[in-house]
Amino acid sequence: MHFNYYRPESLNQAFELMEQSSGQSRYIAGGTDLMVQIKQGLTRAENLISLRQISELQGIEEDDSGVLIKGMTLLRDIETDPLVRDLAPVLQQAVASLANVQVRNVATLGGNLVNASPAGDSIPALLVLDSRLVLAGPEGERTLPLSDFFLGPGQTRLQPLEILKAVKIPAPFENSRAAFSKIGRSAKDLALVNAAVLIRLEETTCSFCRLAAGAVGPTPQRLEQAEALITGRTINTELLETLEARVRQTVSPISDLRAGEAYRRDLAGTLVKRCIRQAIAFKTED
Amino acid sequence: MSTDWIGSHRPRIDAFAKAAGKSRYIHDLKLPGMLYGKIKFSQYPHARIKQIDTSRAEKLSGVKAVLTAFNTPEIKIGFIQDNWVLKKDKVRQYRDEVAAVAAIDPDIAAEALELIHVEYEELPGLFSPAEALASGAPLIHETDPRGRPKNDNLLDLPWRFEHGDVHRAREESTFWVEDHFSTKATTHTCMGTAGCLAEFDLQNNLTIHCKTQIPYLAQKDFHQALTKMGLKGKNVRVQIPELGGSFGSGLDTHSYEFLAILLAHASGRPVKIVMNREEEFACLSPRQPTETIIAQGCDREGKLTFREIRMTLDNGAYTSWGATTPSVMMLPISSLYRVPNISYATQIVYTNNTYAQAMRGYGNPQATWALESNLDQLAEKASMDPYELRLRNRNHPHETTPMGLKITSCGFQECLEQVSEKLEWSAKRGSDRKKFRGVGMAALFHTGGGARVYRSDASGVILKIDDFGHVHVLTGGVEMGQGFVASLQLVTAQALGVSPENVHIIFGDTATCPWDVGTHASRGLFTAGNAVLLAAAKARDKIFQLAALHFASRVAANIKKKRKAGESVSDPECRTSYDPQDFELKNNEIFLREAPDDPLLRVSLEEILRQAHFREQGQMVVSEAFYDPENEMSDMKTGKGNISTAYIFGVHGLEVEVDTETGQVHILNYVAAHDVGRVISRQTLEGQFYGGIVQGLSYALCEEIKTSKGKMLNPNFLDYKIFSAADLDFPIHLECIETNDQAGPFGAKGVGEPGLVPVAPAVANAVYDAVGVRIKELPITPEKIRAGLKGD
Repeated sequence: MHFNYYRPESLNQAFELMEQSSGQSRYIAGGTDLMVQIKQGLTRAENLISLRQISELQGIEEDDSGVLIKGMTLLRDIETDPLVRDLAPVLQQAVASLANVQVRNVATLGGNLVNASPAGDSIPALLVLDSRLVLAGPEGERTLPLSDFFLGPGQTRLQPLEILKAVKIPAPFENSRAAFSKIGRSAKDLALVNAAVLIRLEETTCSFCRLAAGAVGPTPQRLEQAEALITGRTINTELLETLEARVRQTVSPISDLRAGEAYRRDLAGTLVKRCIRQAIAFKTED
Repeated sequence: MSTDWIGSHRPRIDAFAKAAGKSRYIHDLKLPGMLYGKIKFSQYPHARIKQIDTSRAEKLSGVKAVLTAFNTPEIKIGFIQDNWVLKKDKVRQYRDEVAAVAAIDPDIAAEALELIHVEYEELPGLFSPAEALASGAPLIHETDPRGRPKNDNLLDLPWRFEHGDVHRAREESTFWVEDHFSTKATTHTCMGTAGCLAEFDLQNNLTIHCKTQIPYLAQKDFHQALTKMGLKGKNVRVQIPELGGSFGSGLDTHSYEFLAILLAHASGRPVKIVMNREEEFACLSPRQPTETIIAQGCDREGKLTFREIRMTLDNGAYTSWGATTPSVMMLPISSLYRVPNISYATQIVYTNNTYAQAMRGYGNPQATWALESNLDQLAEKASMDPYELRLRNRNHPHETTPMGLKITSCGFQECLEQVSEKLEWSAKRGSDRKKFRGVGMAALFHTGGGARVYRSDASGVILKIDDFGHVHVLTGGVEMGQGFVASLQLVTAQALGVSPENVHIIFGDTATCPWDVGTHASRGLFTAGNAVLLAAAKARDKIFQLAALHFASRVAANIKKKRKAGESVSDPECRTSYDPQDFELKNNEIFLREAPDDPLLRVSLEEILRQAHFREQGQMVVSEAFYDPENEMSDMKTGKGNISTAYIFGVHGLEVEVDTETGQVHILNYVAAHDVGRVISRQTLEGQFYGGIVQGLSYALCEEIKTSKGKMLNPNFLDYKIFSAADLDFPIHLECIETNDQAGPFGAKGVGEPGLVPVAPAVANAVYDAVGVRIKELPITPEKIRAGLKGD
């Protein structure tokens, strides 16, 4: 395993290095996925350009519309950050479910997103928070809704030189609550399916919701049909059962080494239902 | 200060270095001029090798040796010698070795492998026993190891056991249940991956550092290889570094070890081969998958009437010692519970899957899976509580089983009662289905007093004492992480009368340590411990002879010394001569049996040793013992024979809650009771049982080598899931029943494997009690339970 390793200190240096390098070049964030892929020969890279020394990519800040998390922020820092706890607790819940503390002390939020795994745990949570991404390139910055970012497994709208600079999470609107849930094959695992919900209740009626799930299609996705099913309706056991069935019908998971398609459908419905219960601390009548 | 070390909570002596990262594993070994070896494996599960072109690899700078079957002597390996270190005509599995290189660094070695071009002609592959047994199936081995043509894919090793009349018993049984159970290939997942380092001296004597549980049998295999290499009669020294787990993977010698030897000889330099994690998964041998058809019956009162088992083992492409696992499966099949009529037959089938080998339990977990799952089915059919059924048919002390096993100590009843009580069996069983909660149990039976699987079941030790009272025990046994050293240390301390910190266990060097057949079959402490008892008795005799010579003069000298230091000391009642039988040795001190508490009439062990060594016509204390237990090999034709001197019993039970929407099994409580004979090192014993239970839960609930046409799809911990600490969110209660076995060292029986054996059927029985879904194929995954709940 041989590669050149660069540590630029600014975004501009990083763009330059990427542009000038010959051969296969990759930006590297925490490397918890990329290094495994390289070791297993699944990815080749002659040049690795580390984003770790770039201060513009570090930190968690409150901005006028909510919270701004820079791309190279460690998952562990997100998990323990008081601002995120106040403004986006569901993201903490999702991040804390990912791997273990050792990995979370290396892995970054930007890496988890750019890796574009259909099972990426931070993604459903950020989808229900209606997050936007700030992408930086040599020509300047652009923002994009997270829901438009993914094209397929490992595929995103990032241009070759672009770097994910930050994730903008709007402040929660009043009376909304959110929850994340996932299921793996053992206590520490990739998600066979993961899901997140954000819901606003007026009395027992859902006045607004966003539902999302991962590992049930080529990209993590919002479940718009299911959202429409419950919006404006009273949340009760019957509706949740109907929702569960609807989610099972509408997702399009695959069968692979980790789980079969039918089982993933079952899990998707159950997890979305459970997330709603968790979010509203819903008690069943039985 | 206590001098009773047996059963103490003393920390394992090897734990400190392991926790501190100071232990030296094969990965840490590095010699001057050492080369790194790497193996090129097959790209097909079944293919003819047409040509191997190594010319480009040979030209790569830094490459010092490139080997194929075409430039090396033919070396055959395996239980029946049906495997080759390097393949010449055909590859029969994905991991077949077709070439090997040694280079100055691992990257160059890897690059050289890519430059080797192998031309294959693909052949149709057979990936299950059913495919391999189908009429017209291609032959995986065209000839048997003796060169006679084969006409099927069956291994010529048909294990059978017959007792009574099963056919008639079935007809006469009030209740009987027949069903089909299967297990998948799983692997040892040792923390320390496998590897070895081979070097020759200038006289062509070989030293090989390797991961083995059988240093002296490995030595024999390596000798045979040297003969093939034209080095007949040269010395082979096997050295074992610290091992990060072995679990049976060291019971055979492996191609990679012979390749390191060949590469070291070809290059004239030390050569190390270490498996990376992917190779460890995909290129080493797993536990054998099994398909079992089982029927058991009972009469109206619930007394077992017969047991009939037909089993098919997927051998994979070649034959390791693992092909003899049915001989151990016979133990529970013939002897767990009192069963008057038994019929057991196996067929072992060659396939193009990876070849299987020994793993903890040696077939017993696969047999117990079918047996104990089916027993719960029988209990249901007979409308009996499964606990009552087990209790009614349990084994008793001092009975001989149909296989001729002579059970001596037997705490089976106590184990059953303990599990039932701690689990609140009668209150919980069958009552919580609405909450999807259930309890289940399963029992185990295994060798606990050595196991005569080879002609010898012997264990040698040498015990020597130095000038400072430190005792070195040289043993042929192997520490592989299980706690052998810690246990033997306590046995030695207790047997000799010294403190444990003065006892040092030396293992893993055929040049210095005495012969031992191997550390397997839960025999390590039982046999080596008994050898230590013999050697310690001899050493004590010698020490007391020396004490008879030197005790009086040392007592006088010590009194003189005290007086010189100003102490007022009155003269003790000291005789001028003593007999050896006058003495006792405890806590490093030799004293008089008639005056055990006299503070003056005692001398330290080290003083006596110094007196013995430093004089004209001096003497030393070195004793040896070679212990071979009183057991017998089972007869190959009848399967009968008392293969162990003691047998261990155990019962595991657990309470689970099943999440019916996801199929997940949550364990609420786990109870395991074992008749261990006697606890020696409590920490070691608990480690063995916790470890066995967790490995068993992993086997039960998630482990599985997944393949596609013989190729492993999950050669990593990302997709080969094992239980980790995070999965253990429930209490595990261990109950040790001490029956003080007459043959065991201080009454102890072997405990290495049993903890794993009954876990899977206990889990399956608990899941059935909770939700009424009977899983018959391991692992018991949430996906299978969910499918079962949906009626798929």
